[in-house]
Amino acid sequence: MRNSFFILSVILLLCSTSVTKAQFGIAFMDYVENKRSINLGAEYEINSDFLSNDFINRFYLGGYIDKSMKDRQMGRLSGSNVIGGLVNTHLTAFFGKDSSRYRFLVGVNHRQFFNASITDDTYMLGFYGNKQFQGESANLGKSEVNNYTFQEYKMGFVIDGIDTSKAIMGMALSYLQGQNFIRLRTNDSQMNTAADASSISLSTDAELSLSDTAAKKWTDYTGGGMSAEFFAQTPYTSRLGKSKFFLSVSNLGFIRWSDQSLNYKADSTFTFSGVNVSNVFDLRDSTLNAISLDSIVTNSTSLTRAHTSTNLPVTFLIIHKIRFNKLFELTNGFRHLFNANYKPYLFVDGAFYISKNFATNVHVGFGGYGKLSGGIGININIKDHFVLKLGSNSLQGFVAPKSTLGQSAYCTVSYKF
Amino acid sequence: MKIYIIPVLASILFFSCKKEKPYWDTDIVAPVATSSLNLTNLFPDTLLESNSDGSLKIALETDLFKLAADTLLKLPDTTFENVYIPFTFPGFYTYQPNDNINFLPNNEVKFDIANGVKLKEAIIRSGKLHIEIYNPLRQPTIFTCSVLSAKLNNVPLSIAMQMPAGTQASPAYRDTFVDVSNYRVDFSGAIGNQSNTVIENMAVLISPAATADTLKYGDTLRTNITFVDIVPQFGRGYFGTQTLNLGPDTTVFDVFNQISSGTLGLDEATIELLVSNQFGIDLRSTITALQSLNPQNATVTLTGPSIGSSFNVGRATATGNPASPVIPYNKTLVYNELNSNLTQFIGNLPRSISYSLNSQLNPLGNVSGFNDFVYYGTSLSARMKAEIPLKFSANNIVLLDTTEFDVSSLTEQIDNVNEGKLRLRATNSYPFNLSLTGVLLDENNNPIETLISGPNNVILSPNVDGNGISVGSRETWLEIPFDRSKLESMKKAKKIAYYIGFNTTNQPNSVTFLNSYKLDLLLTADFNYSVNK
Repeated sequence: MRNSFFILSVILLLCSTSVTKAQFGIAFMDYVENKRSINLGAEYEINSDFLSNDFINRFYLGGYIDKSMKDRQMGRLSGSNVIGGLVNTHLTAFFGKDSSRYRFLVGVNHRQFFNASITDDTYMLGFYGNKQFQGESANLGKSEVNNYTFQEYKMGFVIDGIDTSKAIMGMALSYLQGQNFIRLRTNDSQMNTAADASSISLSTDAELSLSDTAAKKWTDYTGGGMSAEFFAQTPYTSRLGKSKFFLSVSNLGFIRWSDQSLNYKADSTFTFSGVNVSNVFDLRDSTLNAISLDSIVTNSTSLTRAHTSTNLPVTFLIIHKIRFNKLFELTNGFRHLFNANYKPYLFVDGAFYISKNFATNVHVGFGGYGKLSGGIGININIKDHFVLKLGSNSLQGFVAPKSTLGQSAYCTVSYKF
Repeated sequence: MKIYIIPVLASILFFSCKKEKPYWDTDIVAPVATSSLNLTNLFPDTLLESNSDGSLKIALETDLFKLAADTLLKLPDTTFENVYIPFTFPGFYTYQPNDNINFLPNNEVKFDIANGVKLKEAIIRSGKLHIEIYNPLRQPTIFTCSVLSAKLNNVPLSIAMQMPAGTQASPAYRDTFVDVSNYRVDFSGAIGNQSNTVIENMAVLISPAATADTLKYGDTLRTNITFVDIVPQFGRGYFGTQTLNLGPDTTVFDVFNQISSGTLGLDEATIELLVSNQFGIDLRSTITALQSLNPQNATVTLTGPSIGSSFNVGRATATGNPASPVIPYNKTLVYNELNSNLTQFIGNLPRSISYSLNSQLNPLGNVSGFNDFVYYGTSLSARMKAEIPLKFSANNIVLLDTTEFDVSSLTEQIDNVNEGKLRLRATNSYPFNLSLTGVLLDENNNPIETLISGPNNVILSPNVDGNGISVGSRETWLEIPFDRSKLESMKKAKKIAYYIGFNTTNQPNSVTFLNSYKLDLLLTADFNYSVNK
């Protein structure tokens, strides 16, 4: 699915001349902008503080990652290196009577969160091999990899009114259907390669959990959970213009994965010194089979199948908007994802309302999984009822993928009624 | 409207996009295998013994031949016919019920035993008598057949059989088998001056249920007694002056099976031939030939004492104890580097020993006075005991064999290997160099690819001191480069043929092999590997 959004975004951005406001996977933002509406959209973002966009693209889309590409990432290694991202596709409907202050929402989302934090040695070992560590140890400790994919079935309400000068707020509860997850955590772990290559020692204190690998179809049950989402927006008028505070907390929940989840645990030192061949003149299958990677993994880890729970990356978002005039609106904000190796993301967004039906915005941010990002977006009203919104908060990934970090895209089609 | 087309185009692009896996190259070093090569790869470990000074020797004992007692004494299946014709001229005799018609004298009959054996006495281990009776009388009768020479617990063997009435034209016929195991049979005849001779008898009683009738001209009373499958437990007599020929034949020499070619320069060796005579018969034996045969059909004939010339082997002594009835007479012939060409004989690296021997019985005639004996289970045998100190010079001794090599379980991993090299570290304290050659073979033993070959294939030996003993150990690194082509060959291979050449240092001087020597092997791989390809 991520592939589709990537291609879609590239095409749309190439075709368009302007863009729109940032999306952050928050359903209530559609309500704030479109009120009663049906919204179909998708977004993805991926960023890293050490992997360039061309590396990520190659890693995700496939193909050969050559040495020069690997070498270019080396300069950004900083001891603890982060990559992460999310994918969100959603269909959300907000409805309610004109006479009522209450609006209701139902929706369904497909979400994926992934993030990883790895040491320099992990990158070097993984992409260059262990030859460079002959006679040394590679530090694999304090690393983490998380990936959650799930579907979200959402119901909620909004307290609103005709009076646009008053605050609005809302909340939603969701049932979560787990699809798959990976969670790897290493504590003090290292791999030592003997100087004469006579042994490889893996000293690990690590846990790896996987959802049921037998579940192949998206309808297969691998786990379930709940989440909640809150938002509030309050308008006020300052001497600079009409202003708003928007605050939301989302993904406040958990998923309990099924008892068929795989939990590998390795808390030991495993040394592989080659297969001991009792008679070099009698190489049987069993001897050669013992060299296989599967047998090494089996011998060095313990495996249990049991329930395991994961907390979702709680997303906290604060936005402040000032509408200076009919033409220009300035937005600045703060976003943070907890439990996700995320750094606080600060951003500024300037929107230009060029006509009644067309607006564009420019976005600049710093933090998150990456460093400095910038993007543009467009917002088009079509025949009063339809709104098309698309753009990117990290456009640099498409413009100069070799030298930049991070990429993202979003697209929403809304029908207002 | 144009804007609506864009998502449709994007969707088409998405679904038509086939995703491939990312892959990259890594440089991996890893241990593959460890092993040790030791002298058990050259010689069977069960034969290696350590001397008190730590030096090693090969100690082997093996049977050369064995001639069992039944070769000397065989009692052939023999039938004795006993016929009584009352009237050889026209006439008759009226008999009554319960009449005995027993006009027959005891009958001495003779076995025809081969090779001039004159048996006086025997105990039968197993065998049967087949008794057949023909009754021509027109009344029922009771026939009694006896072998008076065969006794069990001092009671002669005697069998009575009731016979129905018959006729001259069609005599009534009955037969039976009698187990004669454990019977002691006196073969010396009625007065003890015969050999191979037993006494038997036939008697006829008219049945009490018969009616009076006549015995007339033409009536023939007849019995057949057949000795069947007689196996003697013991036999005494004179076994003649026959000559027993053993061989030419070969026996396996399980010492150098691993070695396919080369020469071994031995300093010393000893072979003892132990000839054991468990027969109560004097023998005069001659080893006509003793040869070592190697796989290349090269032959070395042993020359030394008692080879080609006769030697006497005395008779065994009877103990009277059935559990261990004889004390054998043992004759030991010793061959070593001083009295024979034994070092050349062993240095030929034989896989088998060819022998040929003859033994004449009773070379001085019947000196025992018919008291030669054999017991079942005894034999005339020869056993070879070899002791070969492992102090030798080896000139291109070659180990040659083929073993399984199937890496199909590793195909996926091998496919991701681009190129690299296997590195073999050998730590050798043996006083010999080893040159390694390995060739990959398909299932039909056709060569596919040479894995390793000269000139950079030699594991070097350490230096040796004046006594031919290694000083420390020596480390050698050998590299076996491989590329995709060689890896593909590995995948196809089903077997690997290896040739390992051994050459001792300081040739032609001998070197000593100690049990502390070892050759440790570590095989590591240094290769470029495509992850996720």
